[in-house]
Amino acid sequence: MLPLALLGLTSCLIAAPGTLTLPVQEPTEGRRVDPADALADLQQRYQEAQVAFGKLYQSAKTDEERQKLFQESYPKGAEYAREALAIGNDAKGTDVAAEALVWAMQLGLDSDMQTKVLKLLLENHIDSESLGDVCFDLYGGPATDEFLKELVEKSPHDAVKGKALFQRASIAKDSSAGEDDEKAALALFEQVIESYSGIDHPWGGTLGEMARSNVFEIENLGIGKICPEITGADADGVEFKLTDYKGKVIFLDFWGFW
Amino acid sequence: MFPHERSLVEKHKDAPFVIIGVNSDESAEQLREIQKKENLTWRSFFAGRGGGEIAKQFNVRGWPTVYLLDKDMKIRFKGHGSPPDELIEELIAEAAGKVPAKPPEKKSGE
Repeated sequence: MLPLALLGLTSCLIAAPGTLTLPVQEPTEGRRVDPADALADLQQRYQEAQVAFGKLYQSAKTDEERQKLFQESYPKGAEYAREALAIGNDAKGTDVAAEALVWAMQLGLDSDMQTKVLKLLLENHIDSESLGDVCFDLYGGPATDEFLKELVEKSPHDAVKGKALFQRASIAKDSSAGEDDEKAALALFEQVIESYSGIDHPWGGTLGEMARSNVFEIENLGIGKICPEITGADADGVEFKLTDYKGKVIFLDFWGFW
Repeated sequence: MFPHERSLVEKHKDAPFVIIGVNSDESAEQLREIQKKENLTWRSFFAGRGGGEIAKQFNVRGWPTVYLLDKDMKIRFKGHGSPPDELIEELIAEAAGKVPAKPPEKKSGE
């Protein structure tokens, strides 16, 4: 797979337009590959590995085979991330480097690697608008809170600041272990509503709408709160409401079969 | 979830316990088919794709999302899987008037 991909890349290079902006070649690095090409090649190899794994997986007959395949043959994100990190290091400060690091963040990194990538992004790419895309991939890890705080403070883009603030609020809400965390989450969501309401949320809607839903959930749907009424119709179109069952223990299940 | 829910319904059929679904499939017809095929005997609100307005109000972002309410409609558990059996049984005992209600613990399950 690897040699094939490289062959493909070589032919691309020969045919590639836009050679006017090629950097001057340094004589000591005769084999230096343009970082943009290196990244494109890396992404292509990752995608091909995913497709190849998909085919293998489909051909597996038993659960055991499938499990074994997952353990042995699933493309290892960390290996591709290491290459992306190298591109990010080589091309420091360029858009390509930012793109490589942002892409690496989606590969499911361990906390060491995540810390490295976040550090590079902060040091060299704080002005990049693509950092907004990273925020929603961050749930935990030692460097996460610091990274999001820095973005809110230093990014020149409202969309990045808003997304970082929203994610800080979401993490505070999800880790909420007591009233203090709850208050912290509420305060952060209120800031999102006040300053970044109109920014699009990647899952649809705006940050403001999503933040309001979260505020509603914290204030009305916590343990110990009285559950809001639900009215609607069942599968046969018969109207009913949740309080029809008051007095019983209600197991309320949001489900779908899709 | 279905096998566990079916067994809960069977186990607590004579107790003050009910499962209420908020279904997020495409159509009421699809919901009826699933209920029949999977032998789901409990009632579901048909809320439309993604759980519609109800899921929106409840800020549901992952499925399944489960709330367990006591006899006074107070939320005693929320999470993305079934609540612990002991909690269900404790709340049933409260609802049946066998034990006085305890104040809810301030924590949610995942």
